[in-house]
Amino acid sequence: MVMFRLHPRANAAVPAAPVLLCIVVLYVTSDYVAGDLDGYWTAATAKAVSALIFIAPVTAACAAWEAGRLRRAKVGDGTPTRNGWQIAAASLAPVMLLGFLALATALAVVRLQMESAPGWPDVRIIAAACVILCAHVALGYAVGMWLPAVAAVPVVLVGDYLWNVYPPALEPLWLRHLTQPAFGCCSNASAVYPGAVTAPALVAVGLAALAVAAAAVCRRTPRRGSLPGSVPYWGAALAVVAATVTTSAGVRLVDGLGPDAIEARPVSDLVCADPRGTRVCVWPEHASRLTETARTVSTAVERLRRVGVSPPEVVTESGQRPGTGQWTVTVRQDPAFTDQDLVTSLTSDLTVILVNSPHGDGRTHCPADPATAAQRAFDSQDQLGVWLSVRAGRSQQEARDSTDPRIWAPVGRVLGTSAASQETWFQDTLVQARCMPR
Amino acid sequence: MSVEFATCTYQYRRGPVVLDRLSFAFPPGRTVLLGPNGAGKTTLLALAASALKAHSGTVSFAGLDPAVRSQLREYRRQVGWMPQHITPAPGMTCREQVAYAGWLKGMSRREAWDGALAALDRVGLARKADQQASSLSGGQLRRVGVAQTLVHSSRLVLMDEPTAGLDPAQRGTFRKVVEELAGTADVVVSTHQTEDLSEVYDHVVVLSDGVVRFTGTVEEFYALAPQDTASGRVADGAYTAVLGGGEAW
Repeated sequence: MVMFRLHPRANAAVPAAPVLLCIVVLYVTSDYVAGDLDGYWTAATAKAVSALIFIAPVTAACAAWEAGRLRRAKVGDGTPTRNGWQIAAASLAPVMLLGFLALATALAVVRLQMESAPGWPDVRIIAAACVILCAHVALGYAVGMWLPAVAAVPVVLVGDYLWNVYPPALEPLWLRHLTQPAFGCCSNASAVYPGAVTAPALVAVGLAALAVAAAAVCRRTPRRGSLPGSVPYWGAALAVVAATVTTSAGVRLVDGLGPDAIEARPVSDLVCADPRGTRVCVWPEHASRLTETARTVSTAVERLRRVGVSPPEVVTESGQRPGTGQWTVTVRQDPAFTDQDLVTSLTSDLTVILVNSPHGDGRTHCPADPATAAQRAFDSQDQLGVWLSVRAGRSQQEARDSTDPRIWAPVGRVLGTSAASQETWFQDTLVQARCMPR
Repeated sequence: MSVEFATCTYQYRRGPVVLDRLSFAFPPGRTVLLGPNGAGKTTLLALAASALKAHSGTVSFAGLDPAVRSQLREYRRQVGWMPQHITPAPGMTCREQVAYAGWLKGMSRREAWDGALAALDRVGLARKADQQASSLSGGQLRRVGVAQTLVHSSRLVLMDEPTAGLDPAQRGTFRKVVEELAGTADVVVSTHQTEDLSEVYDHVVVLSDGVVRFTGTVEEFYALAPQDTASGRVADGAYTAVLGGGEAW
């Protein structure tokens, strides 16, 4: 109670809290954030932490306001026995608390939107977000010490927001990885690129060093005693060096990274089962559907074997090294994702594997005109995909309903013929599909 | 034990030298600091409070030198200071502002919170404890300033113009506060109010142009007044005599 009366009651964080928390909840429930998490905590953490685009500017603006209060109260002109860190910390603790609360809210709301989520949030991403949050609050405090609150608050609010949202609109693409941790991370098949978590934290440390130096050299900053002689200037120089070093290190970590901070997810994460000879592996988020997936996939593999497709050694959710010995399949937590969808994803990926697999067919049978060859190859690949899905267990009715009638027509015809005719059609269509100009 | 200045020099940036190698010690007890505008009273008190740092020379109290970094904290703990201008902390009530001042002086939050109400009570503002400090009149704000110096236990209390803007009743309350402090702390008050000096203060110091023109007991000060001075004007007469008759308040 006393703590509340002495510092936070009149703190800017108190009126800002409901507004910020509402914004965060609206943001993390939007399709952009909650659309494709599928129980994967790393993706969920990255998406929740992306709420920093709102949390950082608001908390930094609160910090600027608090610095303005200290300025207006002329605390810096007084004779406190507490040092500058303690005085700043007392004013900024509620602001920091609001930032952490907003991050926790984002994580909690994201969690509520997932069916189930084995494991825990990614601590590395959260730690980086906390470092970034602290840096932005420090920056807001420093700006608030130098500028009157009426200027500092809007400058910090708008400037900080732009700092967060503008880099993704700029080239080179890796610029975005310097301001937000785990930007664009991740689908289930990918893991966060560690450098893209460390880099924005390093840049934030540099920013924080500059902010502390800027606050330290400001005459209005409350502190126990004035800094002796040239210390502020040496401190400022040191902060510039620190910011340069950390930013350079951050750039080195993400230089060359694409738009998303991702890398292949380790296959060691996979959870596997071996029913009836075909090993089936899924990501841990889908472990609850492993039995069902293994049963459906094994049945599909057996059906496809009967039409001449060699069974694989493993069917996996990992997209690494797909081939005739390793097929891929997509699984979702969503109960609306049915066995039929499993079979469709399996055969869709299989079609690409078959078309791209090494073969002895020449290209003499392909149309000479590249455009015609491409059109025929595309059509053949689509027909092949639909035919394989039906032969693997998908209902004809569903296949017909979800397929372009132009593609379905030859598939529907061949499905009514004998097994031998279908196998011949399969081989011929596969050869046509391989006519894609290279 | 008193605050001592040893060859202290202070000059504001791009301004004149306010104190030039001043060597002087405030006497213990209750001391009133008199002097014309621009004499250096505020600068002297700010130096004693360690709000300003002497360009040369030393300030010390109870063996502590605020220029020595390791002694500054303890020095400030022992010295309370009420500046000339009291600024309300935005958004804070009177009690919160006084408690915050106590917290800045090193008190725990609990001590500061409890002590704030007692300090406000001493200056007659307990009823305004939960009122926004920014809504107070100038005189009330000045009393909040006094409460801020009382909330923590100092051994030396420095007050710069604490009675400016106070009505007679409030000045009476202030006198009572100073009397109560006598047993626990040395008090130095800079003021233009010279009535009842003998009832409140033990000593008088007169500063002019950065030079201490007089230091002594109130009786010694009064004795400087010309013989024909009217009974209600003794302090004014003594003051004029100290300054050589040419200096106005």
